[in-house]
Amino acid sequence: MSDDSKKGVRADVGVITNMAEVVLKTQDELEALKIIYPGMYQREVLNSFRELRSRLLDKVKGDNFVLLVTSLGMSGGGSSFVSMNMSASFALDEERTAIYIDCNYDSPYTKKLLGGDYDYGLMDYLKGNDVELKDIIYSTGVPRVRVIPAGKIDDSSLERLASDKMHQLIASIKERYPDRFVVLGVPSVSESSLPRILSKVADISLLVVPCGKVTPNQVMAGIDAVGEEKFAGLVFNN
Amino acid sequence: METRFLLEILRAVGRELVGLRGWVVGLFVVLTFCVLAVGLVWPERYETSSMLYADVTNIIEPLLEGRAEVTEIDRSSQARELIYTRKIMLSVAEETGLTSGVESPKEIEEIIKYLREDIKIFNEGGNYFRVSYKNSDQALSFDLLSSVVAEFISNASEQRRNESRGAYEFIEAQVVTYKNQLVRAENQLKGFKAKNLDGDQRTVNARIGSLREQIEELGLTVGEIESRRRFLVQQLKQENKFLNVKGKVNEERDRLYALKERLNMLRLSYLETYPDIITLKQQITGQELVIESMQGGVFVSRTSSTETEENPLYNTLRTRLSETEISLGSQQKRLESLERLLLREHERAGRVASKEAEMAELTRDYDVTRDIYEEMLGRKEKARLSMTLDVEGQGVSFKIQEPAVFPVLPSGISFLHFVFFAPILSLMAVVSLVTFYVFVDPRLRSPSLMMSGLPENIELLAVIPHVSTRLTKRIVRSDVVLLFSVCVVSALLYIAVVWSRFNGYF
Repeated sequence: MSDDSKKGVRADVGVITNMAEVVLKTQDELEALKIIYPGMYQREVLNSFRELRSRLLDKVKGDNFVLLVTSLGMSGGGSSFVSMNMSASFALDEERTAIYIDCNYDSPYTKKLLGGDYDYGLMDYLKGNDVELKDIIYSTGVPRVRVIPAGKIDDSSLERLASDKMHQLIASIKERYPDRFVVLGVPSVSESSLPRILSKVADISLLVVPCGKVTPNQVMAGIDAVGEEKFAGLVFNN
Repeated sequence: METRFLLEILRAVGRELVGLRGWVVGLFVVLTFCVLAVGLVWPERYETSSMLYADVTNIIEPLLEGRAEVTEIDRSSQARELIYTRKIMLSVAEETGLTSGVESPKEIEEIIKYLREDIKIFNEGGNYFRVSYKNSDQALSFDLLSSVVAEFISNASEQRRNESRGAYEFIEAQVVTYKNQLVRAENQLKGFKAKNLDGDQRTVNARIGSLREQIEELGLTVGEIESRRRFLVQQLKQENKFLNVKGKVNEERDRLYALKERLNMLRLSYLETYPDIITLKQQITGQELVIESMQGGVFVSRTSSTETEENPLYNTLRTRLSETEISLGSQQKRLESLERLLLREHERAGRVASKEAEMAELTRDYDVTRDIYEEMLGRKEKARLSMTLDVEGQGVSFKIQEPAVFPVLPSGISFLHFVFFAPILSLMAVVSLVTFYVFVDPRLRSPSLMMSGLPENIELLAVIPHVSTRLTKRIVRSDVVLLFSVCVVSALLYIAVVWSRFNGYF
């Protein structure tokens, strides 16, 4: 395990109890993870996420909301990237915080985000009672952004994610702090039925269209799969 | 909208180029080497050319303007016709050693065909034209072109002489033919004129006119004579042959009338008993007796009278009448003969009309033949002049303006072109392929295109630009390093191939 990850873990221990900020990621690390930050050299990326954030805030009334982010096509459609950056963009406002719940159980993104292995994840929490919520919330190294990684995956992961416990978890996270935005990173609609299931607990959902990977028909099918009542719009990801 | 779409497409092509970098670099390298390989086997061709000049100016031309024909034609096409003839091609092939006399006719045909394809003739404007030849063999290229030009020039003057002599001979033969025809027509006309002495329509008409006039005049004369005769006859009837007796009675009668008149006059003034009246009555009675005695018998009086003599008027009238009758007879005879003549003239007029048509035809034939003959004579003189010009080397002659030079450098597409253009062409091909792929692939690469195909109510919330990794980090990636080294190795190999080619290794 590298020094950075040790630092991250050590910080987490302190964070979970008093919600204080831990050692933040450097700009190089953020750039490697493609996470936005004020003053980044590709300003247009930052601006596009800011614009997306304001359009979503216009659409939903209330203090905070649960945002579901799913994508089209095979893995790598960019839902993890958009989810994490949406969380980061919410948290750009110093009076808001965000939590990214990673339901992309195949994605290596959170592992990369946390700088290596972690103890418990979402699946561990949903599986048994011995894991508490505070055990699965980690700091990302981005100011005011927390993450719940997916955790260990098995065959019944899908059912667990669709369970009542998952619903309760999301509801409790949302209600606990009114200034906290919840972002659900969900697998692609082409691969999983999870977007349809989780869109029930979400307040609003986004569909990420990866450039050069899907046909117009797939876009229409994706919109159908997400369900039109919660659907906010498309995000074209270059 | 349109520019945005194009920008998106350009960006998509760029991204695909980066995304497919392995394939792109591979294809680029393979294509470049393929083009280079084509360049290695591409035959180098050496072209040599010679400029010829058709000299049409001569000192005689101004003197003979409009007389001798020095026609303006495209000299290059004229030269082409001559150079591509089998005769020249064959002699050139023999001279340059392309044929050695043992080839089959089919092989010879092939050689001639290739020669015709490779020898090019261009018009350079005016009377200049260029003959060029291309071959992979430098020496052959030069020899062949020189041979072609030499053959052409010698053939051209010979052909020209033959042509003008042929033209002259042809026209001369034509002149002879027309002359014979003209003589024939002339003879026919002469024969016709000799056979037909009826004269022409005009004289016949004049003759008929004068005859008619004479007949009319004669008719009047005859009428006049006839009426004269009639009067004479009438007058003759009234006159007695012997007029004297009749004269005496009349005399007595007249005296009687006079007496009676005197008596009547006297009676107006006097009675019957007046002596004068009585005397007069006696005288009248006596006079009446005299008259009665005179009238009583002709025989008596003839016999008794001695004073009967011939009537001179009667005689005169008789003489006149007989003269008139003679005159009438002769005039009538003349009239008859005139009418006969007129009839004959009418017959002649009909004959002349039919002959006239024949005559006109003969004359027309003669005129046409004569015109053509005269024109031919003129042309013959022109042809003679042209022929003389050609024989003496005047008229058109071909001169070498720029002789063929030994070709040192290859012409057309050379290996160097391939070396330069291979990478450019390959790059263009690869980019075009990727662009084509972007256009053909139905997957969405342009947000504006995507939105135009979706229902109105679906919103595009954001377009996230591609988050690029910094260049310094990108170039140290393993695949980039690998591709870079592939490029470097290929470039070195490329340079090596080019270098060995230029140093004659292959």
